[in-house]
Amino acid sequence: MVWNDSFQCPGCVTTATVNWTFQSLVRCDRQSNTGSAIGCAIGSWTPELVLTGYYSGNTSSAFVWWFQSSNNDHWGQYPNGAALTRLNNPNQAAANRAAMCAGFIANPVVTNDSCDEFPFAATYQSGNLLGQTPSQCSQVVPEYNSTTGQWTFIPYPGYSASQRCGIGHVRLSDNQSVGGMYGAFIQNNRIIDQDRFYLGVCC
Amino acid sequence: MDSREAPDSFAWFTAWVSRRLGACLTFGRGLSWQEMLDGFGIARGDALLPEAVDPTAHAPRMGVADNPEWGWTIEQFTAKGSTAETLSRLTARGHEALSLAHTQTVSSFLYAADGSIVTGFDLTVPSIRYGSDPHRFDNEMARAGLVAEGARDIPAASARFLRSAFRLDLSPEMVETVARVVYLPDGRHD
Repeated sequence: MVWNDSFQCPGCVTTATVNWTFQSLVRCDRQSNTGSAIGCAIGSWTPELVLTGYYSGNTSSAFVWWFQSSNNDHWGQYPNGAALTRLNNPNQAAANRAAMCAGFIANPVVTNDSCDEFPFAATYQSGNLLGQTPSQCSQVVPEYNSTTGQWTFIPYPGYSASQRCGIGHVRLSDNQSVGGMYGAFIQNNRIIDQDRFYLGVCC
Repeated sequence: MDSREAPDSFAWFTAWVSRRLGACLTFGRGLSWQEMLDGFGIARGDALLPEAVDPTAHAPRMGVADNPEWGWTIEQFTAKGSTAETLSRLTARGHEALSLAHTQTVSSFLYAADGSIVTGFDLTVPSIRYGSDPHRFDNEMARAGLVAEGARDIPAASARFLRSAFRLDLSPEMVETVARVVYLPDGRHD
């Protein structure tokens, strides 16, 4: 694919031209709910969403890390697990979360405990779209020791590594933080419906 | 539902939230935009006129505005206004404040007065409650359609809830026109 840009300025005699040659096909689209009206991406590239906050006590990032590492699907974890795919349908995402968080009982040891579904409700790997129910998910409380910087993960009874969905008891602000990271990632990488992406947790 | 409001009157708000992939709106009753910044722990001198902001910069930023009744902030991918620390500071001198946060993973409402969280709930799973008086707005939630089962338009329902509980009418002008913009201090989303 070749992209030509031409530049002119008042008083300039000639027009400057820049030719860009892309080795990979560039996909441009007008899909809504992507952070800007139009945009382009290299469709063959699978980007990685990197969640931060693990070492600063973000319970939601830590929960994702635990579930990715502990359960057999390794959702989104490169190269062990299948990539996640974005679901660009807010009503379906809300329905997914409502289904997977139905019956959620806040744990008093977690400040402002919120229901954290993984894989995310706004992906096609949401437990609801996989035909799962909350009772089939791994439920866990991540606890951070700010003195040692160590995490302890306390699974609820019935935990099995074969479970395909997870429900974390995480602080509301941490859940919001990860939601913001996912939103920024969608915008910055022009992730449209059904686009694949990997997910890592770091720093 | 209040007979004056059409069920889809906040469709614009749903479209706005979806288009930008998230929004955290924080309101302080009777506060100026300068006092809102104080509540966020941001120096007033750091505020920029909107036209001075680099639209291509990726650093998280926040808009701030006010009218005679409310001061408010608008975040996109962060929810600093929804933290207990911010809400406590905003309300420490006898004010009241509320925060509506829509993100890709969770959507919530929190209300604070006199320095502490009074009530709040998960907008998608409203049985999940917060605060010292978690059922304070049960009637208003029902009127806004926030306790109905099945598929719901969450952002529009949350806007109806603000109207019902606080007489706070969101409008496109309120969310699109800000007095100042600030870059958020830590420059990260976590």
